[in-house]
Amino acid sequence: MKIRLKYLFSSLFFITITFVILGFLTAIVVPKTNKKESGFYHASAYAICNEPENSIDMLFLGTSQVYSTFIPLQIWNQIGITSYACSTPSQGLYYTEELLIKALKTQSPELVVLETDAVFENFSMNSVLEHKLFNAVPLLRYHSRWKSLTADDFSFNYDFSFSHEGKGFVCDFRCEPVRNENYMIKTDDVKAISEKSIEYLERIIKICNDRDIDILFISAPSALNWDYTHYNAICELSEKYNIEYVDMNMYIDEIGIDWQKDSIDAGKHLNFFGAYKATGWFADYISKSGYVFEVKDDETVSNWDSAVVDYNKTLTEHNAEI
Amino acid sequence: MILELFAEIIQDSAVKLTSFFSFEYLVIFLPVVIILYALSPGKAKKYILLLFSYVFYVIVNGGLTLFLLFSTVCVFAFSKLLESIKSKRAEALKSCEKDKKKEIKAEYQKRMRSVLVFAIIIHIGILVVLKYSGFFAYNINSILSLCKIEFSFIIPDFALPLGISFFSLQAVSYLTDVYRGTEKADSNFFRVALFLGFFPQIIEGPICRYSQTAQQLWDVKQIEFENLTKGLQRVLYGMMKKVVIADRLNPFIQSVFSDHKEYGGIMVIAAAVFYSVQLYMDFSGAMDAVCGIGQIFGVVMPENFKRPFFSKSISEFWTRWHISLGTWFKDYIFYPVSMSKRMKTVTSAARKKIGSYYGPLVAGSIALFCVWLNNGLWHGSAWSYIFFGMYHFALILLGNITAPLSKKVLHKLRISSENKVYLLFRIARTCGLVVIGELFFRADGLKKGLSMFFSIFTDFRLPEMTDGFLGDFRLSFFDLGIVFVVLAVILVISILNEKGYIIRDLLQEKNVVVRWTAIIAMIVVIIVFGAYGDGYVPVDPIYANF
Repeated sequence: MKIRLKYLFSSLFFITITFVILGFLTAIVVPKTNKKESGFYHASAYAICNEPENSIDMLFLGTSQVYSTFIPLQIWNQIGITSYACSTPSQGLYYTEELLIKALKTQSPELVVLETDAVFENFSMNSVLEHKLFNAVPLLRYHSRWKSLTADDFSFNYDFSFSHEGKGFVCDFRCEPVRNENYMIKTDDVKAISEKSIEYLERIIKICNDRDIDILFISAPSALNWDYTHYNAICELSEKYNIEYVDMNMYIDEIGIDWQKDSIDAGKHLNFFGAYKATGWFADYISKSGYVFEVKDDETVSNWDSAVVDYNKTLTEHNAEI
Repeated sequence: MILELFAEIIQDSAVKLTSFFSFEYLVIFLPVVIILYALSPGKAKKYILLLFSYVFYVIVNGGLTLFLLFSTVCVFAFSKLLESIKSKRAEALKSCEKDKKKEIKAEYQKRMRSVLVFAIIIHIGILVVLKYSGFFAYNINSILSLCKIEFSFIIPDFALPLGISFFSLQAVSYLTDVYRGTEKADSNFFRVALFLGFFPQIIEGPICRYSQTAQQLWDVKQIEFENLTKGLQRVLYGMMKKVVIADRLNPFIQSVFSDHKEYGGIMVIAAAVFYSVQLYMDFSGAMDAVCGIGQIFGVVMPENFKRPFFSKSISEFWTRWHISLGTWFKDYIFYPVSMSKRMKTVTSAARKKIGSYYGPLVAGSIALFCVWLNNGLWHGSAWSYIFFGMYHFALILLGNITAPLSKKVLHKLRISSENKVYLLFRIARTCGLVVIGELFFRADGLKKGLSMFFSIFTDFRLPEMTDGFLGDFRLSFFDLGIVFVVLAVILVISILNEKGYIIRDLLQEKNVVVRWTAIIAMIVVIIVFGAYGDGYVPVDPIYANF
C-alpha cells in the first residue's frame, strides 16, 4: 500500500512538473498579439471580440466564401448597416456554432447570415474533439511557432486588442478565370448533408431563436464549390426550418459577375472585384428585404466612417477595374 | 450521454486507430484498455486483452473480423488434428512390428503433411485471393491482349482485412511448428485467439512465434509500475521518431516522388534518402509502440529492428531489419527449400563440379530466390515490389559469389576485415544500396522507379531554389535542423544499444532529476517539434498498408 502511494505521489508530482514546463512553453509560443502577422489563429474571425459592444447589426458566418465575398465596409457605405465576416477556411458547423457563441458574448446582431458552404463541410466527432483540445491546450495549436520566435515572444507582453481593419473581409486582387461557367445545371438531385451538420445547424438555429435573431441562408457565388444539387439541399432545409434563403448563384447575371475576371482561383472564390459586385447586390437585397436594424449611435457611426476611409481609397485606386 | 459520445468517437475512429500515435489510440483506446485491465481480477485479465483485441479489430475492420476469426478457428482445428494424427501414430508404432515401423511412420507423415498443406493452402490461399488476384488478373489480361485474344478477366478489388499479411504468416508458422513437433497443439482456443489477434501486434507485426508470446499473453498479471513507466517511455520514443522525423519529411518525399522531373536528380537522391529515414522511423517507431504496450502488460514482444543501418552487408541488413519477417522466411521457406531432398541432390552434384564453396551456393541461391520473390510479393501486389525483392536477391547473391574474391583482395591489400575505415566503408556502401532499393520500393510503379533512378545520372541537377522553395515542402532550415538533431540523438542511443546498453535501464539507475529530465525532454520535443496540426496531414503508418 505504501509503495502504491509512493508511485501515485511521484506520478502526480511528475505530471505537475511536466504541466508547469508545458505551461511555460505555451506562454512563449502563443502569439503576443491577435494579429495575423503574429500567427494568431484565424485572426480576422476572432477579432470580432474587439469590436465595440453591440455595434454589429449583421453577422456573417461560414467558410472562406464569406471573407472573400462580403465586404462589411461596402455594406456600411451603401446602406449604413454594420456587419462582420466571422469566417474561417473550411469551417464545419461545429466551429460556426463556437464562433457564434463567442460573437454573441459582446454583440447582439439583428441578423445572422449563414453562408451555406459550411453546411456541406463534413467533419467527424474526432475533429470536433481535436479542435476543442487545441483550443484548451494552445501549445498544440501554436507549437510550430518555434520556428519563428522573436525576442518579443520572450517578453510576455500580450496585446489582444487589435481589431480587423476589413471587419473580417480579406481583400485579394488575384485573378484566375473560370473554365466552366455553366455549373448551375438544373436537376432534381439533392446533395447529401451529414447528420452531424444537421445537428449543429439545429443548435445554431436554436441559439438564434432563443435570442430573437433572424437567420438568412446565403450561397455565395462559386463556380467550383456549388451546383444545383447543393441548391436543392438548402431549399429543403430552408423549408424545413422556415428560414429565408437566397442563392446568389441563381443571380450571376444580375449581380454582374464576370467569371473571367472576378475569381481568385478559377471560380472557387471571388476576388475583390467580384466581391464588390456581390456585396453591392447583397446590400441592395437586404435594404429591400424588410429586416429591421437598430439605429446606430454617433460613436459607432464615427468609428465606421473612419474605418471606411482606407477602404474608399482602395475603391478609388481600382475604380477603373470595378 | 457520455456513452453516446464515446460510441460516436469510436465509430469515427476506425481509420485513425491503425496509428499507435493518434489521439484516438493513445488518449482514448489504450487508456481504457489499461484501466479496465488493471481493475479486472487476475484470471480475467487475459480475457480483457482478448476482448479488446477483438473490439479493436471490429471497430477498425467491421465485418472483415470474420477473416481473423476464421483463421483462428482453422489454426486451432488443424493443429488439434495434427496432434491427433501424431497420437495415433505413436499408438500405431507402439503396437506394430519392428519391420513395419518405417512404413507406418511414412504413412502418418503423409497424412500430417496433407493436413498441413491443406491448412496452409487455406491461409495463404485467402491471402493470395484477397491481395493478389487483382494483380494476377491484370497481368493475365495484359498477356491475353498482347496475344490479341479477346477475353479478359474481371479485375477484382477486395477489401483487405487489417494485418492479414501478418496474422496469416503467424498462423502458418504455428501450424508448421506443430507439424514439426517443435510446438504442441494448444487445447485452449482462447489462448490461440489471443496469440493471433493481440491488438498492438495485429496492425504492423511483429510476426510472432507461438513460443515467443502465446504463454506470456496467457500468464499476464497485474501491471507493475516499472513496466508501466518503461513501457510508456518506449511508446514515447517511438512517437518521437514518427511525429518529429517521419511525418515531417513526408511532404518533401511525396512531392518529389509524384513529379521527379520537376526537381532533378539531386532531389531524387535526397527524396530516396529521406524516404529510407522516414520508413525506418515510421516502422521502428511503431515497433517501439508495440514493444512498449506489450511491456505495460508485462509481455516481452520480439524486437523487429536491431540498428539495421549499422549493417556491413545486405545479408546482415536483413537480419537487422523487419527481423520477424526475415526469420519467418528463413525458417519456413529458405531451410525447407535448401534442405529438401532435391536440393541436397543438386548440392552434391554441384559440389563435384564447382567446388565445396560454390556447390552448396547453388541450392542456397535457389532457396534465396524463393525467399526474395515471396518477400517482394509480401509487401504488395505490384512489379515494383517483385523488383525490390529481386534487387536484394541479386545483391545478396553477388555478395556470396564474390566473398572469396573480396577476401583475397583484402588479404593482398593487407587490409584487416576489422579495419575501422573499411568497416565504415562497408556500412556506407550498404546504406547506399539500401537507399536505392527503397527508391524503387516507394516509387509509384516499376517504370516510375526506373525513370527516377536513371534521372540521377541523366538529370543530375538542383532545381531552381526560389524564395520559399523549402516552404513548398512545409520544410524550413529549422525543420531540417530538428530532424538532424533528433536523428543524432537516436544515433547515439543506437550506438549505445549496439554496445549492449539499454537506455531505459541506464536511466533507471540514474537519480530522479536525470530520469525525469530525459522523459520530459522527450515529451517537449514531441509536442513542440512534432509535425502535426495546421498544415500537416496525418500520415498513415506505412507498414499497416501491407
